Formats: sequence, C-alpha cells, structure tokens
Amino acid sequence: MLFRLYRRKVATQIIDLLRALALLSLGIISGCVTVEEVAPWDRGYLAEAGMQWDLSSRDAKLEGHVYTSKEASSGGTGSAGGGCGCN
Amino acid sequence: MQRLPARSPLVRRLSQTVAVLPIYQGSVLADAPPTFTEVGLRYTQYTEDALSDDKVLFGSKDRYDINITQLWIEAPVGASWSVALDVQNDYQTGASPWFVGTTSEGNPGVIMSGASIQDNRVEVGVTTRYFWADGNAGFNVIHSDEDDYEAVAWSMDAAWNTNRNTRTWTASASSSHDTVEPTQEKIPVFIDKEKLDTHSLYFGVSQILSRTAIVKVGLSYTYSEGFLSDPYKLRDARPEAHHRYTLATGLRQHFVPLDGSLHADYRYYSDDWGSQSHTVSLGWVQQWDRHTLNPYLRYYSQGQADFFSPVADFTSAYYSDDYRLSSFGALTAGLRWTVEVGDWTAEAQLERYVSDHGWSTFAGESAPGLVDFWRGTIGIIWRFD
Amino acid sequence: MGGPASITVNPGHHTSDHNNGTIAEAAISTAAARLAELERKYSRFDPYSLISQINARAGSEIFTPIDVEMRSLISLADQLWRETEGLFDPTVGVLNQVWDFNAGKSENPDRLRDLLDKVGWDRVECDERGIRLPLQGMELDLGGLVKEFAADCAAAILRDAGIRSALVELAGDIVALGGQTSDAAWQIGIRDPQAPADSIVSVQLTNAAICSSGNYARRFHHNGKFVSHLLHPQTGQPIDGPCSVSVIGESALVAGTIATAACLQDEAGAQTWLDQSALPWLMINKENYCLGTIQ
Repeated sequence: MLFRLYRRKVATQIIDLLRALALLSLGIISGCVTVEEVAPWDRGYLAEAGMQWDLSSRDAKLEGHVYTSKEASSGGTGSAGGGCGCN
Repeated sequence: MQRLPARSPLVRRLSQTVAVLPIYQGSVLADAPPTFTEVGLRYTQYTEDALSDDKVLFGSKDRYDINITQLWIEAPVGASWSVALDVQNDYQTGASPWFVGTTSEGNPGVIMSGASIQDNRVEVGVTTRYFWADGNAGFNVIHSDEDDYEAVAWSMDAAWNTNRNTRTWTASASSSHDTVEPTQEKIPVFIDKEKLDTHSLYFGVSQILSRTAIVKVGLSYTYSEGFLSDPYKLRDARPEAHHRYTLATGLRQHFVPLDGSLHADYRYYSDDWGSQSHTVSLGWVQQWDRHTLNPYLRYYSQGQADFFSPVADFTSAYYSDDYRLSSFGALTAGLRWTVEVGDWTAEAQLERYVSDHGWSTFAGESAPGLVDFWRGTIGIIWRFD
Repeated sequence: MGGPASITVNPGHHTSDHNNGTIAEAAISTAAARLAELERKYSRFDPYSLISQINARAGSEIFTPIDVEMRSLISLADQLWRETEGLFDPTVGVLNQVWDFNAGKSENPDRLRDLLDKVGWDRVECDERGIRLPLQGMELDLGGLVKEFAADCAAAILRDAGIRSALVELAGDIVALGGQTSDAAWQIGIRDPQAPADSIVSVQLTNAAICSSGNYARRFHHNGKFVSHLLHPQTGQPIDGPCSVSVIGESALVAGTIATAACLQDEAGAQTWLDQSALPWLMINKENYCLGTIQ
C-alpha cells in the first residue's frame, strides 16, 4: 500500500512537470518567453527523420485506434478520424 | 533517366555538415508534396492476455486476438498536390466481458460473452493534400464497414507557417456518422439499429525553439451524440451526448553528438462524464547507419466516469461496469526498428501494455476486466519516382 | 580552382516574360561574380585569399576568424577525413613540393620525410576563435571542395533568378538546373580518359549534379609506370587508385566529394565506398574497364 502511495506521488510529480511544460509552451507561443531565431537555412537537424512528430503516420493512426478501444480517452492528435465499433 | 535514391547514411552525414548554408537548404522545411511515390504494407497482431481465474465467474478466460493489415499508396500529383489511398483490414476473434457479477463472498467477477466472436472490419480512406509555399491543406474521406457497424467520416485540416516559418498553426475539423446494427447471435442484444454522430475540432501551434528543438501545444474538442453505450454489454446505459476536451503538448529535441532525438509528449483529457486522464510518452530515436531504433515508454492514468461502478447499479439513469470507464493506470513499453536498403524500408515493432487499478493517479474503484496485451508489427515500404 | 567554367541558360524555358534574355544575362553575370569571389576567397595561389592568410600564419599562435560558409566547408572536410580514415586530407598539398608532376621528377626521400611532418588534418586547430595551423610550413587547401561548392552556388543564383533550365560546368563538375526543355533532360557525356574528346557513356540529368574526379588530366611516368598525382597523406606516395570516378548526386558538393574520396582508395575500397554512398556511379579502372551503376 505504502509503495502504491509512493508511486502515485511520483506519477503526480511527473504530471506537474509536464503541466509546467505545457504552460511553458503556451508562454512561448504568446510571446512571453523569447526563443532563439533559427534561420530557414539552419534547420537541418529539425528536418531529421527522428525529429518529426510522428515517425510513422500509419503507426500513429493504428496506435490511436488501439488505445481508443482500451481506454476512455481519445483525441489530442489532430483530427478524430473515422469511427469503428471497437469502442 | 538517372534518378536519385533516398539519401544514404553516408550522404546524410556529409550533407549535414553543410546544411547550414542557404544554397543547401532548398525546400527541406518548406511545404512541398513528397517527391516520390510510396507503397506500404504493414501487418499487426495484438493479443490480449487471458484473464486470471479469480477475475472470471463464468465463460472463457481468453480475450481478443486482432490481426490488422494496412496497405497504402501515396503519390505526388503535379507540382503541388498529393493523393493517398489507405486500406485497412481488421480481423478479430475472441471473447469480451458481458457483465460483472459478484461471487458468494461479494467480490466482483466477469461473466464473459461466451462463444467466440468473429468480426472483420474493412476501412478505405482517400486523402488529398494541397501544398503552397507557407502551408498545406488536406481533405480526407473514410468508409469503415463491419458486420455490425458502419461509419462514414470526413476530415479537413490546414497548416500555416508564420514568423519566418518558425511557427506553424494547425487547425482541423472532422465528422463521423456511424450506424450500429448489433448481430443477434451469441448474446442477447436489446437494440436493432442505432445512430451515432461525432464532430471534432482541433487547434494547435508548433514553435521552433532552437536549431535542435521544437515544441507544440494543441487543444481539441469532440462532441458525440447518439448511441454511446456498448450493445454487447448487459448492463451498459450511457448518456446520449458526450463532450470531450484535450490539451496536448510535445517536445522534440535533437542531440547532435549522439545523432539521436528525444520525444516527450503529454496529454490531459477531460470529459463531461466525469472522467479525466493524463498521458505521458517518452521516446528516443537513434540513427545508426541505415538503422533507426526507437524505444519508447508511455504512462496513462485515468479517473472513472461518474456512472461507473464495478458491479453496475442498473437502478440509476446511467450505469456501466465497463472496465474502460474505471480508474486505472497503464504502462506501455515498446521498441521500433527500421532499416533502409535502397528504395526499401523495413520495420518491426513490439510493445507490451499492462494496466493496473493501483497505477492510477485518480481515486476510484477497481474493475475486474482490465486488459493487458502484446502488440507486434512488421512492415515494408517501397519508395520510387 | 582553375579549369574552364561555362554557364548555359535556356531562356526560352523560363516564363512567358518578354525580358527572358535580360534576366538570364543578369543572372549569369551575378553567378560569374560569385565564382570570382569564391576564387578570391579560397584560392591558395592568390596571396590575398583567406586560405593564403591562414597558411601564412601557420606556426604562429594566431587563429584566423572564419565565417559560416568556410566553417561548413571545413566541417565537411573534417567529416570526409573521418569517413575515409584520413585519406582525404586538406593538408596533403604540401607534399606536391617533392613530386613535380609536370616535370615527372621523382621524390627525394629526406625532403619527403620532413614534409610528411607537416601533413595531418588532426593537427589543425579549429574552434570558435577560428582556425590555426600549428606548424610552420603546413598548408590548407580546400580546392577539393570549393570547385563543387562554387558550381552549386552558381546554379543556386540562376535558380533564385527564376531560371528553370541551365547547365553549370566547372572543369568536370556539372550541375543541371531543370531539364534542357520542359520535357527533356540534359544529356551529359562522361569523357573517356584515354581519349578525352570522346564520351563513353551519356547520362540524362534533371535537377542533379554529376562530378568526375580522377587522374587522367594529370598523370606522369615514374619508374616506367603511370602514377597518380593524388598522394597518400601518411606515406607521401602516389595512390594506386582508379583512373576516374563519376558520381551523380543532388548537389555537386556531395557528388564531387564522394567521387574525390573514391579516387583516394584502391579499386576495391573505392567500390565499397561508392556502394555505401548509394549514389549512381561510374568507375574507370587502370585497365580502362568501366564499372558501376550508371549505364
């Protein structure tokens, strides 16, 4: 029981951290946090295959499908896509 | 005519050294349709673990086995369009929880759906995308058909680049029109034909932070109206409307000395059924010669819906004993590997999903039907001019 | 750099604009000016070039500041040095003092030993202050990269001017911008090393570069056999490599450096290297046989 409580505490902390990240990104976008200006010709690393939001769009779609059929949550990745009876 | 193959790792390493020079930037990040045609085939199998003896009161302990085949072709059309055709076939067999009862000691236990269910789903989707200098827009139509369920869905999305292309705004809208016609064979079902409509909006923005880092944040809202209950569950009566909200954020950071990239994503979800969730994903993408290795971890924690109880209280207006509406946490660990050989890319992926009531960060009661599964995928992609 | 340069523009294939000819002429003169500027910056024969300044400061404590362009080219040279395990070395030029290729003189062993001490890319210091050659007499030569880079620069200027069809040729390095017409590629012949006026093979290029590297332009007899003018940075001896290598790539810089590095290896090594690049290639070996993936 104690272990579970501890685990829950750690998970809560991780979530707080990520909430901070969400706030940070909102700050950046609203212009409250300054970012380095990266010239168009200086984006070689950002164009790397490993830097894309989804490494495989087909896998992202399938993964979304699998999780939607196992968990109550869905969405957050863009469009909702087609329905299926798996839910 | 001589056509150039995809960049080999050697050419990639050499090109990277001069990538900062304007003349070698070309259209690396400008919006442009793919320059090649891609044909891909993936096969995925996922197998749910059997339930343990103490969780099942009656019926088979084995759950679903699902085989998914994905086939697609994506090609540029003219200078500023691309078209993709996706076909997916899902074949599933097995049993699922019918309802939750109680043992003589008062512990909840699952009554399974009895005989093995077989279902085949075929989904066909067409996507067209238009590219211009500062953005792109896509339109997608999907038709999905299975024995007892049919869906027609469309979506539109657009992305604009602003602030000297360091910021990208994304918006999308989608809509799905579903018809449920449960098969009346294995277990008693109390409906003939029902409708479900779902509409969704997404708005997001990504920002380049440095030459090696990019973040994004996005909000989504989804509204469903119609038959939202599970027709194959005995004690399942859900509201006829469902409002869902998400806040999602992500970070990609490239580490030059390691030639690898860190992926970190977080999503918060909340709905008007009283459920909430946190999803955290972390991944690493390592380039190594022509191989790419991508180990990843995902932690998910959800809180139960207001009308959930381990044993459904069917005297209330809404009730459900569906484990998917309970409080639980889940961990996924996976590894994805791809290798490029000339025009071909092969991929293999294996992941393990385990869930436990105790891993949730939310309070709530535990459900006996929680699922664990293995998923394996193999695929091959061919790119040509 | 040296060697002949030529820029061909097909103005009819530009737009419906009446001033096509004028636009093409203006773009060509901008490109020619850029080529001259690169020559002034990187030539080791021009005493006022940046390279000459770096070489003149060899052995001193002074770091010569370098700009983004040169830093990138140096970082490419460094990557090539690593990839070829030291065979590609921008400091090898100093050894030419022992081998006078035009006169066909052989080496003086003592002089060679002294000069070998002044060769070694790993000795070059490069940091945020700039670049420094630590030993007096060391020489930096980016000639192996700059000619290809210049061809890419000229093509980029034409492209930015709106020209859709052009051919840039800088002594063996060719960049094709678009096709020769809207539906025909540029036809490029690969020269026969034994009879440079003839071509062995003809390739079709659209938005791509072909670069040739080899020994046929400058070979001499030593102890009764042909030897290459390319020298091994560790031994100082001529490299017994292929006669000529041509590579097709998306840029002259990448195609050219792949071809150059192939010529620094023996035939088998060159073949492995070229296959590793996965770019289309053609090699002519010492027996004058052609092999490779370009047909």
